Amino acid sequence: MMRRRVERSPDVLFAGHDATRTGAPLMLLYFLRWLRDNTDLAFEIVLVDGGPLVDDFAEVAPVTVLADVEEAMTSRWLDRLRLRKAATAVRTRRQRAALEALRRVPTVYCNSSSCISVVPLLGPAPPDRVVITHVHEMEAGFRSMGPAVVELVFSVTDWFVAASERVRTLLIERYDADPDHVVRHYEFIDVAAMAGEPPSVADIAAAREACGIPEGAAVVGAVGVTQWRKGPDLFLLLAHLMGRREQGREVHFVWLGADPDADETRSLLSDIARTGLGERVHLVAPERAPARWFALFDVFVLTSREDPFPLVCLESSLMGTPIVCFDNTGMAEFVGDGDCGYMVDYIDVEAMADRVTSLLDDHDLRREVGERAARRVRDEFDVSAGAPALYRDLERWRMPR
Amino acid sequence: MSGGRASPRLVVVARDASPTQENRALLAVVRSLVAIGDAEVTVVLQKGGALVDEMASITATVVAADLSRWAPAAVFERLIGRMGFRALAGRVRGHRLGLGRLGRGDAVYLHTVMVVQALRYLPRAVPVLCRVPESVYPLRQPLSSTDVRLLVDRVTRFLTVTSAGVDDLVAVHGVAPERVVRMREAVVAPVAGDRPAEGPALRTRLGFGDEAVVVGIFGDAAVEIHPPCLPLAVAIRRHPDSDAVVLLLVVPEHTAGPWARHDIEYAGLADRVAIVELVGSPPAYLDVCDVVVHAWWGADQPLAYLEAAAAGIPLVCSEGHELAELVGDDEGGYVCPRLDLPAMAAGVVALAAQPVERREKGAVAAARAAARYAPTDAAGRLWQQVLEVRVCMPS
Repeated sequence: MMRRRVERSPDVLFAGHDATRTGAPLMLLYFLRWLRDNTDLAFEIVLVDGGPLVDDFAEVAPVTVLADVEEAMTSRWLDRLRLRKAATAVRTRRQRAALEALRRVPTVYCNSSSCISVVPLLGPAPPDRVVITHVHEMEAGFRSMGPAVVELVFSVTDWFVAASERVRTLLIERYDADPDHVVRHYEFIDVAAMAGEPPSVADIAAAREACGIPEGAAVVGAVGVTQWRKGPDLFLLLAHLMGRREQGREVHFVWLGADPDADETRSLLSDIARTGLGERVHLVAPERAPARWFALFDVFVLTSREDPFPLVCLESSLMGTPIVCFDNTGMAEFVGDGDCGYMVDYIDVEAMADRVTSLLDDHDLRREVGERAARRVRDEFDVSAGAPALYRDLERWRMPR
Repeated sequence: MSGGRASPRLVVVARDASPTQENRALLAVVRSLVAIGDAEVTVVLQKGGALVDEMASITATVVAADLSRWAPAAVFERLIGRMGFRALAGRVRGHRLGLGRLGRGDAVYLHTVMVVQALRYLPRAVPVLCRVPESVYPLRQPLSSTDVRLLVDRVTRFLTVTSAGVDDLVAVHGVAPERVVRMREAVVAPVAGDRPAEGPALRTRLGFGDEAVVVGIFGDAAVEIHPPCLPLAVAIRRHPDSDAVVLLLVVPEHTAGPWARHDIEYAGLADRVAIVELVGSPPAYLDVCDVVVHAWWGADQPLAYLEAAAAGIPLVCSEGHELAELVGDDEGGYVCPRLDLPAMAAGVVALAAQPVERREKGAVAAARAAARYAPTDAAGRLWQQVLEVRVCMPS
């Protein structure tokens, strides 16, 4: 997708990996909307791949989606002849041509390490170019990118934005980033937009009914894709462990975001069937408006093996739902210990079950912790708080004195 | 009757004759099949191994790798193969292996899907039984899609070890349910001298101290399987008496996915858990195991665990799993509520603390494995399948 360029040359080119409804693209969208509404910064957007949010991005600024750059006949034939390197070279040339007008943009903001590939497409860097990389990844994410991409990230980036303290520590201690050039900015959400679309009682009831969860049953929720990084197997273990305990009431477990076509989902369903959890564990496909599910959850568990600072936790917390997570995710920095939720030792599923049980059994505790979490999200993790701080650093970096 | 012979032929095709427990079990099954006396049994091996002579003493044995490359038939086979006459080349090879003269009334038993190539040399009229050993996704890698198609097309009846194997064949590969049968494995105790006694040296190489009680977990650590063994390791660590317990996770080569090492690092389990990626069968590592724990969701008859039981190693497993029959009422180890991590940890720690109890329970497990997975019974079950598929083939 190519959009008409604005009259004024952009000050910043924001690069994103895609336009899916996931943490990094959503946060970028919130930030860009704030920039459009509150600053006179001129910017454009490049996305490596498309997704359902492309039009939302296009409403904010001109967007180029590299995946939509028309495939040349030459590269298709080269692919068929298995001349992959040559095909890639042709494709890259076309993508470079698509970005020709943006080659002199002085500041490139890569909204994730994985879209650093946009930078080389802009050609030789002008002497004043500043590259900022907003790191939403942790160790496994870096490993999956491959050493060549990781090397590129650290060779071209001038400033790092770390999505949490854990990410900042990783960049400094594991990858030798200069501590003075790594700044932590927690993720943020658009509280007003979310608050403006509260789920109705009927919506929540429909969600409950869709899973066959009886009235009065407690619901423990999780959200994400069903990849191992998100720990869906640990979620099943948790359900299994809690199912063995005497509970005051029936407890159901809902995993929202399970793509029904994904191999991981299929194998999870097999696991659920084999362990007899089918009546209490429910895998739900991704939804455009998940608020009714957040409202249904009594406790939100983050079983991720690593997660820098997932937006879904902020969204759930805004509903007053306490979180229980492992201590190696960025969310541990949000929950504290008993403040806005609880953290437990990594993959200590038993300890997680203990915490979840204590929250389910104590309505007052759940409400207090949930209210603190909601307040913290409104005060500290709304776009109105996070975006100005990030913008200040952006201005400082792109126009050094 | 076929080809004018007095009795029908049953050809058993296997990978090799290396001195593993699995191959010893096959040897015992073949011996029992020969003893049944209703068929002329021939064994075709892709490669040789230490057990070839013993196999040949029981029945006619052909080792494909030992066939002369320069025999006139071999030269002819290569020549016509290179000229593109692949089907003809396959028939020539089939004759060289003794498969070409098979006809109606005969049958072929593939001991593993990895000998799928044999199907290219078989006349279509010959029914084929194919054992599908454990693993949740038995017809995936390392088979190519062409191999899988050949198996699905050509095998008359699949003999799976796991219910997951049944599901995979029927639901994923579209095999008609009547072509898939669950079969119980044959297992024998390890034979002293089959492999060098490496126990102490192996423990040292793995970094285990002399006082360590080694708990073995065997299986496929690929991402799809979602094993809970590392959360189990955390549960064991929580137990107050678990200081001496270390876990040895033995998985097939290249399957210790990113999750395993990530979990070990971030859970601080590096001093408690060792991962070994293995080519071939795991029995060598049984030498260092004091206890084995079955902590997977599936794999109904995991061979490594049956072999561990046959070797006299006590088991900790979940109720409702077939392994629980080897344990009984906590006689061969401990049966815990289904994947109850604290209970499994307690069972492991209890066995770790009591060497005498370990030996006693291990002996019970061995006796039960010998009774339940006896090769003679397995041969009888296999022969019954042979009779059924021979009847089913269209005339």
